[in-house]
Amino acid sequence: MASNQNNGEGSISLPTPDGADTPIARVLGLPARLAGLVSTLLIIVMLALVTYSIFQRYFLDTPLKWGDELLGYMLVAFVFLGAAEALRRGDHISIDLISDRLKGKTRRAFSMIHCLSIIAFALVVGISTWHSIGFAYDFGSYSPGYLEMPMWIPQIPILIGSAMLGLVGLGRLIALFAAK
Amino acid sequence: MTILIVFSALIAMLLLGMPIFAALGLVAAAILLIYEGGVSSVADTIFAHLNKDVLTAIPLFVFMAQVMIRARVIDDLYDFAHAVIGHIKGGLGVATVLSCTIFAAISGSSVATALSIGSSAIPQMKRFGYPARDALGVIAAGGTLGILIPPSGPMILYAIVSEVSIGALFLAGIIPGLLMAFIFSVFCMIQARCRVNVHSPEWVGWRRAMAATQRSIWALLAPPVVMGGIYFGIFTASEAAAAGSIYALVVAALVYRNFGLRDLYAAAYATMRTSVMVFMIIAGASMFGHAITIIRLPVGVTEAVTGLGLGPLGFIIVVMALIFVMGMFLESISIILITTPILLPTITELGINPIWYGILLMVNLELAMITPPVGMNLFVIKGIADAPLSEVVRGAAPFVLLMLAGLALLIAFPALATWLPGAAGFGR
Repeated sequence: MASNQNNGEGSISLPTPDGADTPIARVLGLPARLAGLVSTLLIIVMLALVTYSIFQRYFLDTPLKWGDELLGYMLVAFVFLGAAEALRRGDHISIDLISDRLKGKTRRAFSMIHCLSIIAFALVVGISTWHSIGFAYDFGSYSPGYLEMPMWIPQIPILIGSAMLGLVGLGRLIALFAAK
Repeated sequence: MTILIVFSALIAMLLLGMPIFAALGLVAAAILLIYEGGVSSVADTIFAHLNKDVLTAIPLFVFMAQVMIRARVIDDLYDFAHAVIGHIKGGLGVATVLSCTIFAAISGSSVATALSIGSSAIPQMKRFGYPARDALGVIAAGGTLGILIPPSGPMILYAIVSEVSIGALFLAGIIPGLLMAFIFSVFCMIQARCRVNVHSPEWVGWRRAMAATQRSIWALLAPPVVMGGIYFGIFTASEAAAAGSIYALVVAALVYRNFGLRDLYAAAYATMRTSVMVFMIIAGASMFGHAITIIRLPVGVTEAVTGLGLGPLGFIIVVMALIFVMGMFLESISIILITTPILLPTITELGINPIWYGILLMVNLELAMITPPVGMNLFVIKGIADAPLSEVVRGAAPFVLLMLAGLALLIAFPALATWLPGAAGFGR
């Protein structure tokens, strides 16, 4: 099923996705690598936050009021900042029942459709988030929880993540067009 | 008619090789463009679905398992099972199931379970004359226990979508999980007796068995840390995952002393890759769910099913058959996120216990992992054993029948799933 079943859980080595191992794809994938690093560190931060929250509740008897809200925002950032890096590493599951059996031009066409679908998804989510952020900023809406955070801030990672997803998809698409 | 068009479009896009998250998102975008004239609601939908603190349990459980794998705590687990039960006829198969069962109580993923135990168990079983097919089959099936025995990533997702308690669902999975493990073990012993070349390792003696148990104690203590906290109401699911992760880190750093900062980063990076893949499907599925609600698809399905006059049992049997077929082509996360919002109104309407349904769904999703042409565990085992897919499929085939029998048992006796959460006070 998966274009790559590694998913970071073990040590199976599978081929890199079509077009991924080219200079253009590598250059356009650089921001994704950086964001992937931030996403990775966010796991440790989320773990620390939940642990701190347990400590506060059971040992200091002062439950952390803003912990859950911040954790939710962190999770959103974790997902979208890591999405492009996971794409770059070929982790996102797709059904390759047909595409795996193809060769030559038809296989390349399928790979292009794969990239185009990612770019289209990134555009849909990116444009929608842009509008949502603009609305939240103009309207001056704040989160209903204890943090009272301006609502455009926790949505920024979705915008950044969509842009990077699009870039990785684009890099791979250009590489596929350029391939002989 | 609408349901047919929507699902035909989705299947076509999936067969074209699009990532599942993109296919779900783009079908949703098309529906929204047609019915709402724009996609402006997409961002809010995704944000609302991912902005849930309870979802942090998923990456934290993955992280806990990653730390234990990298610190080689899990290796001692297989050595323990091998030492205590490997010597009986078919014992290596039983040891494999036992290791999978215990690791399933540490990890929330079937793929991780099959990968971690498979790499130790397959060479051992082959060494003692087990046909490759049998060894591959038991790992493929044993690995699936990862999602039925808590903690379980798919259970967390189902619980959130259906708004049932994660703790209750976790507890509901324990008895069915152990029942499946028992059925698998009995089958392994019978199967080994039918094979002429299979022999068993010598009994290692009490001293070595005790030593193996002692070495594996840190892995064996992990499930009580996680589930005990949930059972006694001390921890929420994400807190239990954090406590489990801290436990794993302490054991890795202080007991095994083989876990440095580099390993910490590697474990977190692997966790990020696995979890983000799951969460992007959630993002795509949230768009899909939003779009099909706008065209009132779940309501239409409820009306159609109610009109058929199936009754709860008939409904469950039809749905399970349908999900079994879906499972041949789709993976577990997508099935949960696509079917649950559509079926939930009918489940409520028919008075079906959503916890019980959730467990039936999990068993069916276990089947999805080992039924061809698309089954995650089949691919994983093929990858680690470098065996033809057909051999893995043939090895897993008897377990498909056993799991169907287990599913039938759970349908016939709902208390197998619902008793424990009731006893722990959930739903009172």
